[in-house]
Amino acid sequence: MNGKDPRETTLRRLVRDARAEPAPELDWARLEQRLLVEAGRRAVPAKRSRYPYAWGALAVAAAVVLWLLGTHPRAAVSPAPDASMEISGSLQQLADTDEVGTRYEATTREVTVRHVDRAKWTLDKGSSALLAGKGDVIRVRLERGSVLSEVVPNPKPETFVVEAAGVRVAVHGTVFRVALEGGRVLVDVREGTVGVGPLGDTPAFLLKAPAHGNFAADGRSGSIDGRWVSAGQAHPAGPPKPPPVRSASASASASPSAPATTGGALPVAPVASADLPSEPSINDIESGIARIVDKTSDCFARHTQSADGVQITVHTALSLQILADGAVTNVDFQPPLSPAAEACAAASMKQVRFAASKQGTTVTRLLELKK
Amino acid sequence: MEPPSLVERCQSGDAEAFRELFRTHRQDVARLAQRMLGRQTDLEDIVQEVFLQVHRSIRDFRHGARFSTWLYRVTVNVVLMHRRAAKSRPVFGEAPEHVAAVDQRPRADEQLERQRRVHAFHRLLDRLSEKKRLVFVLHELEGLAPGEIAKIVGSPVLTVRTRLFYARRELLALLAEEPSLAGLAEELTAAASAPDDASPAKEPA
Repeated sequence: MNGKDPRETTLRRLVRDARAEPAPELDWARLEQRLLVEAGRRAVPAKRSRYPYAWGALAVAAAVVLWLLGTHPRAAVSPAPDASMEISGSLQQLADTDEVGTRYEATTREVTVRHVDRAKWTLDKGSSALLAGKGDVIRVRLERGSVLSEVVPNPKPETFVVEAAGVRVAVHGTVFRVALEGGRVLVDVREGTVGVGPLGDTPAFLLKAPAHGNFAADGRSGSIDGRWVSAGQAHPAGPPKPPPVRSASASASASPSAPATTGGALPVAPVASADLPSEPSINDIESGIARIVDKTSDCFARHTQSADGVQITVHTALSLQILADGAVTNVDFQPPLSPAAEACAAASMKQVRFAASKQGTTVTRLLELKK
Repeated sequence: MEPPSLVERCQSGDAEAFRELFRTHRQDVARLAQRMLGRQTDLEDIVQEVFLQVHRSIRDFRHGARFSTWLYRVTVNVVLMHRRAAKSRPVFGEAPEHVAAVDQRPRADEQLERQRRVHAFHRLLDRLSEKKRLVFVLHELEGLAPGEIAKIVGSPVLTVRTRLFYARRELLALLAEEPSLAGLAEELTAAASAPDDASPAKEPA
């Protein structure tokens, strides 16, 4: 690099600064422990031969023997659809390189599967699950046993789904356990909120931590914290009665194409308080939040100064409270936006109204705003 | 130079040797991964994955080659795989710029300023194509010769040199687009007439 050009000098200085950065300090002891256990676990499957034909007969014979013995080891680096991965160790298994269709089995001890930056899920001993999807939405198909999932909060709704029997449990930043027991699907929510409903349908029930749900295998009925519930209706106790007037959120659950939130001009349908859900449905929340995110992005773009050609990106956590009547209040950005952008966002959020519920709820989302 | 016995012991499945190998090289791997990524998110996972790959493939390592070059190649592949996996999703792990700016913890101004410059530099690097960024990091930050980089990335030396040339040229053009570096450019320009431009005495330890 030629030092006479000021830009060259600047670049040289930046390179020198970057080189002077100390090596990152990690928790080496923990990492070493993790590594050695995982290395031992991965060392178990036989190494893939470079000469499959030469060793073909031996491989077939070994496969037959293993099949007869009831074990089905999977080559460590070639996950194929419906391939089976028997894991007798524990600790971290990175799923980012695994194919959809990979089966994870925790035969002798629990197994943790990680999706970097997104989620991790732990199969309890004796459980098995299939990686059913890993695109925008990670889908885990629980085949037996139970799975504890920890999902990193994401502004996109439903980035992680556990399917068990005919039940779909969808989340966007939470800690929860799903178990298959005696033909029922049990859901324990430890942090955050999850939506539960039939497979292929929109979530019918909302469980907010701490909560315990016990659902039928079709996901259409069950109980939440001891209260009997069925798709579209939640009853405080006892058997369901036909509702005289459906709440806005119940309508949204029954008809995914219908707008779940109402603008300021659209009043919430008058419903008897007893028929209201305890909280807005997850559909209602997500579509309302999507509108709020759009409005906030507009406000940020309008009220943020930037020079030509410079892109500004800000990450902030938006928290807000949805009142029982569906109005939005207590809007907070951490770290804060500029006063003008915040005032604009708060004003525009007043135009968004969620469906009425008995107690409302609070919502937090991480936003990425760009100008 | 890696003692051959250590690698050989690893190749024979000696767990203690693998532990020693990890302890010897872990910081190099972490540093390269951090330089390639520009941030520390998932660094532990990446380092773990690198050494798992080493553990899995070390029998393929041939003693005619340098172990460090082979390890670089494994690290580069794991980081690139990680970047590709992360490309399709938003990144929320990095602290917002203005949070760092209002950080009240006591720090030396010079150190804070340098960190800010390094972050800005990594933002610039992030705007280069994968191939150009990789050779630039390996050459300028890791100090590897083009010949060794060629072995790591599996390209001819001439290609590496070409990528380096264009990487530098693009970075020079991008410098003007990074407002947080404007002050540094002015400061260095003003100091250009001084006899000792590098001012090594002012460099933080």
